[in-house]
Amino acid sequence: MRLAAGCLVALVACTPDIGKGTYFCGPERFCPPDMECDDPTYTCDSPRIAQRFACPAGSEALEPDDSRGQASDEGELGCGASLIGERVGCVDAEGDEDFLAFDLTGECVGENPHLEVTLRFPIAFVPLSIDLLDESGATVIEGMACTQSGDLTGNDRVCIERDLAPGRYFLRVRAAADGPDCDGDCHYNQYTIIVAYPLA
Amino acid sequence: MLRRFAALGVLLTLLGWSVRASAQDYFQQGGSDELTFHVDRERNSRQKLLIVSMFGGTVLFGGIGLLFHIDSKHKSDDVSTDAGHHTGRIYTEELEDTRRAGIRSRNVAIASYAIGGGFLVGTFLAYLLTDPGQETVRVGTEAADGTGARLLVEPTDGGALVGGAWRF
Repeated sequence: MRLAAGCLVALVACTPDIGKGTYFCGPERFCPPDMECDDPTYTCDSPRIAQRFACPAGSEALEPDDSRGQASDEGELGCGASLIGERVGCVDAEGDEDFLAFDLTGECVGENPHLEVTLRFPIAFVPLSIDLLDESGATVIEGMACTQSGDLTGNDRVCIERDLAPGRYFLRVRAAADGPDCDGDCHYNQYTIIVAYPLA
Repeated sequence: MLRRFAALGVLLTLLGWSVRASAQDYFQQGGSDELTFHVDRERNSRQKLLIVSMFGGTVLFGGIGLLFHIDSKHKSDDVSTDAGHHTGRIYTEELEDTRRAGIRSRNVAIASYAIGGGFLVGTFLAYLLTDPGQETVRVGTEAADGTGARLLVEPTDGGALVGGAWRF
């Protein structure tokens, strides 16, 4: 009888208890039933303090950059150099696209010279894609998922690795086609982009 | 044979009660030659089956409750977190499934414990309600028709050995 009573008391500990602010939101702002996704931190939190999405400060400084003609011109990309260290951008609505342009000026010499682009974005909102376009607007390569296992940032990654001939190129960031977006309610995302041209 | 066992039983019972002998007048000093004592009756088979079944239910449902209790504990531990300590994990459908399964197991455990508790109470009640009580046995001189009991007294050094034989 004493044992049974002890078990009943201990049952309290058997109820899952998820603390607020302890999980990143899942795809489509997914959170435990009594929580909501706080979009700015993409963390599951109390509905009382959860806020809706707003583009991070400075992330729209390059707008309008919604076409090749409006692309943010990053200048020349030198062999072995970094073009963009870490820049925050934002896709804030359906149809929004961000373009940036750069010129690769010469043939690079090295063990494995290649363009290296990393796009990182919260998994909670619409997934993003990145494409490399040539001067005519034709797609050279599409970014591939490259999220490392055990990533504890609540983000997904899409990467491009490609050796290039000299020329002018464009990088286009937009929402992935048919990406889950809460039936349109979370068709937005912020991102961080890194662009470099390592030689190995 | 039955009589011998009965006689031995009475003898042992009398010895067991010897500490109270001073309070009871077994030797009928008042002059009567009849000896009276009480013997526990046995429960019948149905009553025993009822109690055993009830207790079996207690063990069964207690065990089921414990299994689901442990299961809910494991699942709860998988998803539970302390507020203020970000896990760095993403809340996925799989975690939600684990959380729901933990709650389901908890509910089953509570229900099983409740049913097991009911059986435990039932066992206790059945034990009390089926108590057959005691039988009063009178041992005295054998009646003329031979249906009474025969008192056996054998003097020994410093006392006597007392026994009896009777028919039921």
